[in-house]
Amino acid sequence: MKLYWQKQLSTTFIIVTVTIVLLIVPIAAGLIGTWLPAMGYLPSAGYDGFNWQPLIALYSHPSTLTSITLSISSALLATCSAFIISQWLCMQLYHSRSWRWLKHALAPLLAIPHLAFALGFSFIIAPSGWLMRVISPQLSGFEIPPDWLIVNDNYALSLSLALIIKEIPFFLLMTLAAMNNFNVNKTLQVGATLNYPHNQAWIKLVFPQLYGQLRLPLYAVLSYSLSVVDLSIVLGPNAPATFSVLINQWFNDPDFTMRLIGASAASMLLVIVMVFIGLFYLAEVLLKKYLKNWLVAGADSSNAFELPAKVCAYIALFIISASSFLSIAALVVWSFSRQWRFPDLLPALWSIKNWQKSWGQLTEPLFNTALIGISSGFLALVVCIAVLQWQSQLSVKRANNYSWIIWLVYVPILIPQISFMFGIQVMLISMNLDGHMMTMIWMHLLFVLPYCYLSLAKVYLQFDDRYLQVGAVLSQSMWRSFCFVKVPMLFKPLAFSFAVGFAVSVSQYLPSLYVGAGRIETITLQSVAAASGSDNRISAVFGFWQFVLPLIVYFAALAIPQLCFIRRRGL
Amino acid sequence: MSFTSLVLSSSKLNKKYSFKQLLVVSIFSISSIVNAAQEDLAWQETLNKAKNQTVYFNAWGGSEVINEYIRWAAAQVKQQYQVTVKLVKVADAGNVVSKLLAEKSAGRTSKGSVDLMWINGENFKAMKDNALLEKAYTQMLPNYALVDTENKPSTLYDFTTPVDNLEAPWGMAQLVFMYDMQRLTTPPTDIQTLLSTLSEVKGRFSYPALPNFHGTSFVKQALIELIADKELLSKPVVMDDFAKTTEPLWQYLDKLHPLMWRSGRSFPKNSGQMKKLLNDGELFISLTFNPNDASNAIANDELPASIKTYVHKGGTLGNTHFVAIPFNASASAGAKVFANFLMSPQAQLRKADPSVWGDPTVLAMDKLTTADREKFAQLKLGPATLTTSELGNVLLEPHSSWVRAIEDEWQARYAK
Repeated sequence: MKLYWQKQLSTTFIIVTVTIVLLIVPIAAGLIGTWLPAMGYLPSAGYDGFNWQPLIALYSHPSTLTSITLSISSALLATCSAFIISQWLCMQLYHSRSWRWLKHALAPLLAIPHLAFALGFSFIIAPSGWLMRVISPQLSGFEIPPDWLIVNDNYALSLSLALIIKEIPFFLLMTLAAMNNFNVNKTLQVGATLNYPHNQAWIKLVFPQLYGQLRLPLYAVLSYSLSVVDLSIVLGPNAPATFSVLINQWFNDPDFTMRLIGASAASMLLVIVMVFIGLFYLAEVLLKKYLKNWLVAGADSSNAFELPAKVCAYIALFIISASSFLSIAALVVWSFSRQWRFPDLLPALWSIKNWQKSWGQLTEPLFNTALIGISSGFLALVVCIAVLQWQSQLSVKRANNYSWIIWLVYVPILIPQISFMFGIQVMLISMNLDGHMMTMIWMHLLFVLPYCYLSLAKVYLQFDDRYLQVGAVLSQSMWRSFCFVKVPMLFKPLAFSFAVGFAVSVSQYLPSLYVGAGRIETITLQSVAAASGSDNRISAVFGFWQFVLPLIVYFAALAIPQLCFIRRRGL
Repeated sequence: MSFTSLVLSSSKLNKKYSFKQLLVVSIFSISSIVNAAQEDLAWQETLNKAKNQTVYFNAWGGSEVINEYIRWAAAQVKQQYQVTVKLVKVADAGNVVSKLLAEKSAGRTSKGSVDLMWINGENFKAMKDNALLEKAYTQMLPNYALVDTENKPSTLYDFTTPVDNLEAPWGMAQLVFMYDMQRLTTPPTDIQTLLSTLSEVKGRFSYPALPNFHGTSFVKQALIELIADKELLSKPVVMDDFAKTTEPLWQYLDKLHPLMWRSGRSFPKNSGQMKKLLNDGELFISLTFNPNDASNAIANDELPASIKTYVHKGGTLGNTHFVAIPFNASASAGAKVFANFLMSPQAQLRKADPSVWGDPTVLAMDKLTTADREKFAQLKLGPATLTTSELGNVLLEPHSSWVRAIEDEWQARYAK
């Protein structure tokens, strides 16, 4: 017995150490490396005293206040709307005819990188964009595009809209994963026998059980929306820009004092993110407290708007998939265009030159991106399985004691990247680790791991370990049973989780930029560099590949398990 | 040259010269031969060192035309000097400066990740002030002697910061405006007529929000045209008088913004986006620092043939762009060889061709061989390129201290 406990403890110790070394150490070092300049200490640029100067300068900068307000308002609008719409879609469409379709549509939607989507989306909704071209010049009478402020509007509405469209599929994925936790069908049936109308059964019986699993994804989206840079540069306001864009601008300013302000702003952003995560938690506690009576009051007989709600759900679904499809279609058409002006619906001149020209430059970044994505995805899967296997062996009480360890896994996606990347860069350089493939994979792992874990945890922990025990008895080996029973049985979710991780890795910009040291080119680095210029045609080619790589992996993740299990339908 | 002077000095040997004088002259001549020989030797040594080195050239990668030119140049130095050049495309030169700053913070004084970088005046000043550059090197490059330092003062003063041989001139830039002549028959001729033109075609001009380089340049151009005493701009800014001296600028911008694209409530991200907007007719007037930009864009169908170029009659801002070697470059010799090649008549000629890139040369025509001079003279002007005389006066950049002051004030007024 004593030996068993020792073994348990040492496993726990190993798990904790590995997580901390892999994830927490670099982030902690990165944060310190950002806080020092935030307090006025950057000796390499000649600032070697600690003072409040950067913070004061940040406070008195004319753009700061508006910019923070814009970031907060757009993030709140985007996070809350995306969350509510996604839950409402689940409620309306669960087990309807479109439910299966929705499940399949998720993979391509998730594969679309934010930057590619932003570029395509702005091309759709701009006054000179595709929608306007459909009705111009015949219907609208516009020979030249109207001077309307749609993209980059001063209230960050177009930014919020894009974020909403982009985050709904993620929330849907997370909700689907959470549904593995309990039997939704049965819950709804029980609700029906107790006279709950479908919607109420969902809100009062299903949703409270789901929310526990959605809390973290919600916080992750909130943190992401508050700190998003690429999407905001394309679609967000620019006089002033949102806070994260402003920070990025300050970090790149030729005047080094601005970098100190940038560092203090990045630290400020971290505080803002933490405060708002805290507020979300507080809101949850308060809602629970005040809605408790309503939640347990049983069925409420009034139930009017069933049909229009469903129609609205279809419309919402249509908008999401149509805008995503059109953004990618825009990329494809641009990549084959030679000359394309308003109000032409399609290019006046076509060409394959953009593809021919870029082919030679694509092989190296594509190879690197695939290598980094596959390695970090695979490593993340291994770590996830180790953590989850350990977790699944814990008793309920001990699991509660150790829940903080699980939170460690999420730290990288709750803290804004921009608030620690500069510090990480300094740390890696001083250890001579920058520009190496291994370091690149490690840094990607920071962000891949949490998403893999999020998409895998529930299915994995739901697994009935009696299969494992039977396998162990029959094969005389826990390991063999694990490898030949549990892993194959979980192959489908494992493959999907890998694909999620791969897609996350492909889209990483800041980590690749700060760690790669110009030695490791990735498709996203190329894509961002191309997008900083004027040529839509060439950036479309890069953007297209940025989308296709994750798409291939998603499809493989869906298809390969199907092929493997073609004779084992029961799985 | 030193040989001939020696021959001359000995042939002129006659009684007019005392032995002492002769001695001085010959020692001087010999030492100059030795110097030249040493220079040749030093350069030869650099060439030897550079062999088989890999140079990581960090440059803004937003233009495929430029990327292609750099790849061509890389292939040339590979063939001629066995130096491998790898282009690292960045979205913003500021990223590269950040990386160097991080390397300096981490104490990496050699084996840095950047060997050569494309740089603009503001970043150059910051890097020079913070010792992020390798010691003076351009005087060692043979092709530097061909640079037109006499008539192109911005090759010696980058945004008024003395270059001090710390960066190698690569190309010349001048602020020009592009317009669509199908939509705008008579382009503006100065900053005031820009205002009157816009009152007729409201919303069809804009400039990128500051601190974007092109945005700042436009505002500096406006300031030069509007300020009462232009002399002030060549001196460091005096903050006490700043509000008063720049008053005409802000009055002007207050009038301009409501007439601009999106009524000045939003701005294009950069000059690249402005080119796209010009293509779609959202803008009728755009701006660029490359006088051949329009011609080049027409050649590859990025812009229609109706795009032409114009400048303001009092002249427009001009400057030079450079390549610099960071303090901790790993392949410093290779970087020098590549920088030298970029200044060669061969490379400069190809760069100046509007169908390739169209970036004006930094070289002095009278320092070139007749054959090279011919080739430059035979370069065809692009369809939207202005002749040298049409390009008119090149205005010098205001003292670098003005930039921060202007950007701060602009943000306080228009981006709060």
